[in-house]
Amino acid sequence: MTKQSQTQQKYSSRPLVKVGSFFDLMKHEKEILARIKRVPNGAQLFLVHPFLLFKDIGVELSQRAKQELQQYEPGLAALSAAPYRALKNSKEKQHIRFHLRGLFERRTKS
Amino acid sequence: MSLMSGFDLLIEISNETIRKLLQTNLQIGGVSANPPFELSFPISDGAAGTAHVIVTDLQVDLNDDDTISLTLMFDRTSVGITAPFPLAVCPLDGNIVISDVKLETIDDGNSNQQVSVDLGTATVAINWSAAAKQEITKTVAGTAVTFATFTTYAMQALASFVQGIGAQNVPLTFNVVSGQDGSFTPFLQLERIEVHCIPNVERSKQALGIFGILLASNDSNGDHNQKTSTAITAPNDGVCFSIAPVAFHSRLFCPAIANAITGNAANVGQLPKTCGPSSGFDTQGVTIKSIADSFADGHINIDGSVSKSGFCYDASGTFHGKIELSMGPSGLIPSVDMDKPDIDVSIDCWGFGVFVAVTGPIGIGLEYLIEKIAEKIATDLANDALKNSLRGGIPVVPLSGFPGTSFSSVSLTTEGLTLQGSLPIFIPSAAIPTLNLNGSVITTKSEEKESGVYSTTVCPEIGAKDYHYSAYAQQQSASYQLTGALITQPFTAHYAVSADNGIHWQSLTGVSGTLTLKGVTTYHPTPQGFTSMQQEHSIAYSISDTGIELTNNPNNGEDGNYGFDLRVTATDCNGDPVQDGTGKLVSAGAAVNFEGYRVDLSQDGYFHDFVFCKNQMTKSPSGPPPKPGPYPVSMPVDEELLLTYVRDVLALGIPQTDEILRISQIAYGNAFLRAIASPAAQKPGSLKTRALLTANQQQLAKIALELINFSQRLGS
Repeated sequence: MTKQSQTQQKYSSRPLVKVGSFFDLMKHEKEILARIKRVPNGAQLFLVHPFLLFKDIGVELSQRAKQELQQYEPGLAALSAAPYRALKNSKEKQHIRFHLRGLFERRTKS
Repeated sequence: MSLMSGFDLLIEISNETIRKLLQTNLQIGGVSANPPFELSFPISDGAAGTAHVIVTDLQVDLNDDDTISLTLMFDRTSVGITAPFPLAVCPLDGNIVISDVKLETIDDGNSNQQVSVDLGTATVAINWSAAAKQEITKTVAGTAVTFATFTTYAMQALASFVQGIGAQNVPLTFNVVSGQDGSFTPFLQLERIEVHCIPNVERSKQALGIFGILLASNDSNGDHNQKTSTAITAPNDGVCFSIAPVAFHSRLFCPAIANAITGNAANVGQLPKTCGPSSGFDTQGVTIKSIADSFADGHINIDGSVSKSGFCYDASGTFHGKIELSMGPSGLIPSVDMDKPDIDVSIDCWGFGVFVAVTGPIGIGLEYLIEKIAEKIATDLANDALKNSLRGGIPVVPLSGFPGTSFSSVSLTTEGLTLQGSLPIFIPSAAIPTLNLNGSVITTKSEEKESGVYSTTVCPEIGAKDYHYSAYAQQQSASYQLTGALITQPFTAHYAVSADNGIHWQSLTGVSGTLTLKGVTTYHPTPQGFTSMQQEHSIAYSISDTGIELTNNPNNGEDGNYGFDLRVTATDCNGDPVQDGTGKLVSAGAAVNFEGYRVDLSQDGYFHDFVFCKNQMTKSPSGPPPKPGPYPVSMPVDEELLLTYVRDVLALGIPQTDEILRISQIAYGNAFLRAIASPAAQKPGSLKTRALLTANQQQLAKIALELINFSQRLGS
């Protein structure tokens, strides 16, 4: 069994967090941050590819939520899965340790 | 054993280098202590007389009580006593040990501590060789003096002489300002120094230690007794320079950071701990919160903490690096090896740029900073600290050429940083045993014997001209002072003369007399040239303790002009020939030339006309004024040069040779005769040698052209 499938299995047992919009996502921020913290190198994986991490920790983003996030953070549209997988599978100790205190910059509702 | 023994800085100088410093700087009785050298000192306690010592070797011992011992090997030495009864003993050999020579530092009043050796309270011992003991015993036998009392007289006289030398500076000067932190740049300044010997049974492992405190707060630190062996590794002329971690930190590391950050090494106060009170400094986009150095085996550890903030993130971390120093052909080379920084980043919101902002700059920035620091440390060490560490002395030491030649390796331990090298000191070449005859011939009486007019045409430009001349008979005296160096004294001189270039010698006996030289080539100048003949000469001589005087007998000018060789040898107090240290007979000589007859053609300017004609005849019609020729164009002439000229003329073998020589002789007068009568003129090989040495083909061709032109004009 691969590490990825182990992670999926680990979090699939938890209730799925369904996110319909950006504001919906921010409402669940605390719970999501807690889930990320439990993942090895979770904060760094979040920086590398938030969407893949959300999927791994049982956070399901709607199409609208994805579009809103990409609108606020255009960089999210051009993420590569390779470094995410590499970091997720790495057993090396990371010299830079990331600590996540928030998910995305908060926006006012337009 | 301890490397630093609690001091901030330690300069170690090998026994060999100290010995060379003493050889080139210590004056014993006004004589440089560079063997071989000789000493003369009076004997006045219990007996009256003089001792003359020839020192052939000097060895130094650096003792554990911070005294120096000097061992002087001697031979060809003599002791002469005049009272209570005359006694002379020679030749003597053995060694003299001068102990309890104090090592001191003297404040010159300008914050300079000068290293000095004080012989004022030194003790001496004379160790005669077996042969010397035998010689003394044999000589004092039957007198009131025993071997023991003889030795006591000699030792007392020597002790008095040595103690009279007093304190002598060694060219090792250090800038010391008490109560102030010292520095390495722009020159080495210390807060305190102590100078101690680092002893060892083997001289090659002895050293002189300059134990220094750099930091005022460390003033009470240091115990030189903990330094039990030298750190010098160089086999010859060794020196080493060690810095303790605390001194390195304060005087090199922190100033290097301040220089890297602010451009001014003095701004250490703007730095964070462990250098200054600041909470941090920004460099390369990151903030250094702290930075520390520590010595390890083979390298210097650099540790610190760093922070960086940006949009949605705060980063903080620690870093570790190593600086290694090595000595390359062009100087001290720093090499930096930085570990990846250990960083914690707190993120408030997603942003891919945080990688770029944190990961790259912190690592690269730190690496850049540490490299700059390392380079500054290496530069300060090499260019300032080391170069100036022995400032104020040893002018013969090429330290200004550092790095590369003097310091050859660097080592690091937890105790200190040590640079190993060598300090070669130029020792003037050794003097050799000699007898010297110095003197000259002077005219003591001159009497005009005839006069007349010589009519001739030197060259067409001048035309026919009358030259008035006078001829003089001259009494001359040749006085020579005799001195001896590095030979047994007192000595008895033995003079001899030779009129046939050293084939036969005639000894001069007694203190005065008259000698007869037969078959001597003799010249008589005339207005038209000169004559030459074999003649017998009578020469009076007078010999004194200081030299010899020889006088010719002009005999109304008939004695003419001639030369001979004077030679002197010597015997010691036993009547044995005086030799150098290798058993070779020591002698000196002089070539004596008497001019009992002189023709003066100067009143109408014959010589001036001769030079004018030569220049006129050899100059280019439209060219610049003629340059001085290969032979003299002014008085007084150099006999060697004149001889060369004569030989060149002879070597050309042109038809006009005789006429050129004749006219030249008239011009140069007795100088010409002296030249052709000189010993050098009688060496057949000289002509070829001289031609090879001084006249290459081009030069010879030029001389030939001038002379041929000259001869053609003479013939016209």
